[in-house]
Amino acid sequence: MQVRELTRRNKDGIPYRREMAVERQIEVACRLGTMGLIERARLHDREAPGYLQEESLVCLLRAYAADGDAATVAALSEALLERCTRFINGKLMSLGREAAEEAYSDVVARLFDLILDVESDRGDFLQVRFWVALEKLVVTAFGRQARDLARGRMQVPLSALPGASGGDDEEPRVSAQVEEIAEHNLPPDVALLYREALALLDEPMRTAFVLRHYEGWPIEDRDETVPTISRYFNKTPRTIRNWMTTAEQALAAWRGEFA
Amino acid sequence: MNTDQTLDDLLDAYVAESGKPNHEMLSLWSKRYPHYARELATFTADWSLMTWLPAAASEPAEEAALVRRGMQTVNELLEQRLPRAASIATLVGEGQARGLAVGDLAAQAGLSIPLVLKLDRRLIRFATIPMQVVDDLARALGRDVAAVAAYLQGGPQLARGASYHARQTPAISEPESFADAVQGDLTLSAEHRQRLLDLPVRADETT
Repeated sequence: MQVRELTRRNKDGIPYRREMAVERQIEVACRLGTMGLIERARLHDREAPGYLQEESLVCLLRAYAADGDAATVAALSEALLERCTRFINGKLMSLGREAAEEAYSDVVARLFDLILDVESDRGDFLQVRFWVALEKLVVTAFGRQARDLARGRMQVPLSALPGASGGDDEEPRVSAQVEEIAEHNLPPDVALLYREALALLDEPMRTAFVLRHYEGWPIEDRDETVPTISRYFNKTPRTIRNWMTTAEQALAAWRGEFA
Repeated sequence: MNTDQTLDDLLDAYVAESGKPNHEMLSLWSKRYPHYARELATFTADWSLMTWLPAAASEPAEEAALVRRGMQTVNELLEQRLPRAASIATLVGEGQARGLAVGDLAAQAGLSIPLVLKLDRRLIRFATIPMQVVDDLARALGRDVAAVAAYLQGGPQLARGASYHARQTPAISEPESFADAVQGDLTLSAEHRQRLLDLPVRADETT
């Protein structure tokens, strides 16, 4: 079995390198034989002697895949999936069960497409920062699924989706007083309370609300290089304020019922 | 960034440096990589939404089902990439593909039907299964010992084909030792039972 050196380069042009601990684990694992290796791979306790980090598992998976040993690859894949499934699913469950399952399959397909593509070095980063690479895959799958859901439910006119072009001044303008309210951040305790009810909001109000009140994105900015909610949705600041107000009114109504 | 770097590489580095969605970091990276400003903003917005939307916790049985679903995806990829040796999906299914009913498989492997079904559902801890049993199963199925061993080390599974009337999927029982499964198997004769119990198990793996 041949363990391949990493060849992919980081953004500064320097080849990725595995952590020393990972290199040591791989060296030991190569001497175990497949039975011993699979037993080690199935250890879930990070403190257990012989525990193999996920970065090591990816390296070994690729080595066995390059050897054409599908049985060992399947066993190691299952061990890796058992470690990742709660992490992946926990981040996707807010989509709803059915959409979360779709997104989960998407993540698994893309993850193992990278791992099992032994002819390329696309999967190298998984051997360096596995959980970072997985987080990126989960976010990407979440975004795809969330947009599919929004399109499917016809909650959002396509023109309102990020990236769509076109004007938006046809939307009704709310009063100046309400616009001012929307300029302010919510008090932290209210934001925490409202978090439970975010699922009730329709898109694009929900995303706009989260970006404004939980992430602190500005609605607008004179500096064109600064990401703003207005630029993200390609809508006027006035429209965004209208969305904020609609969202806040819906959440205030929910809060009234809740109380 | 090198010209051969892809958006994927950029997002990997962005997540590693940011740790969590962060408008300040987004602004910085958008200035640094203006050609990807749109993609960075979309990614960060998705990341924010995923972070803040409340999500229900999943049950262990649901996670086990997701692992199985994920393995179907992995097996499909394996069949495309490594067609020479697909993994075992189930012992019983593998036997059926070779024309062996469960009873035939049990007989050829020197086991009972209940034991084969428990092994099929991985309800027996692998470390307690005598290697002779793994060898015999592999021979009966015409597969590598490693392939059978790899299958037996997977997570326990619910009975296939069963339908559940409860709202929640029932919990999977804890795997037992091979010796306990043999002791509890009322279909075995006393002689057969003793023969199975006498098979050597690797040291420190008797429970």
